[in-house]
Amino acid sequence: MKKKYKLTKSIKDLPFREWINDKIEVYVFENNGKIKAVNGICPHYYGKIELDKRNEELKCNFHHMKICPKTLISNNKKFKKIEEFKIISNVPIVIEA
Amino acid sequence: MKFFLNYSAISKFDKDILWFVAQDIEHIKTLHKKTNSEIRINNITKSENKKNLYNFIEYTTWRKILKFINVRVETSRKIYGEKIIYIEHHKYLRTVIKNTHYIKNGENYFILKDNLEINTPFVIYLFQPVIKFLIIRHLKSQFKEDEIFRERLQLMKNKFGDLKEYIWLD
Repeated sequence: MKKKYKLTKSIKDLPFREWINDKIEVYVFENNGKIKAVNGICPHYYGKIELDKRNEELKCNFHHMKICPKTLISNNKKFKKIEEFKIISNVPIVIEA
Repeated sequence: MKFFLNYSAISKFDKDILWFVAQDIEHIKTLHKKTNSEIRINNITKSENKKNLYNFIEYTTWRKILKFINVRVETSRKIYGEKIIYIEHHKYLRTVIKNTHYIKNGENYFILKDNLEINTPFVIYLFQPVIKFLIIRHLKSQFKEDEIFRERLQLMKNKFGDLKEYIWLD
């Protein structure tokens, strides 16, 4: 059952990460003018998923997992797509997870 | 000619986390990008022990020395009980470094021990203090970066329970 969560950080903090419900780490970022919220925990082995310096791809800072910020599909066949959370509102940011 | 170097570092994270990070190879290229530019795994013998990522592994790394020199290092690792034996072949120096890595229990912490045996030609042996300095700097740099990884794994373990099984990316 999905619930709605209002995040404490806002659009001016982008990109940012925030724990909700103490179990879900959300990473919120902007890609081509669109705000996206994804699971910020790397499905491979717990790393932090975040945008690289050039904002061109999402990557894990521990191993070499890379994820397309547009499609959210990873470069590794063992891990297909990272989880995306639906954004209900932008101000304040409310997501469904 | 041989010389020796013993290095210790203290960590407060759980022993299973320390053991995992000590074995993990695939973080070398990303987490240790300051000291390594590339890694290629050449051979791996898997372990039946769930705590171990492998019994034996051979890999090649391209290591950065003094920021602008890139050298190729051939390494093998073998796990014996609670010890990892690394053998690094630095062919450009005709040098072999054997490192025995293990974790010793402290009171509220663990001690990560590295006992190194450096076998090198006489000409290089003369530069022992420089080599020791470079090795210690390398170990300190990697320890600092590994602590960031361990901190993250500890947070995940505290939130979700035991660490999940590791899946090799390549």
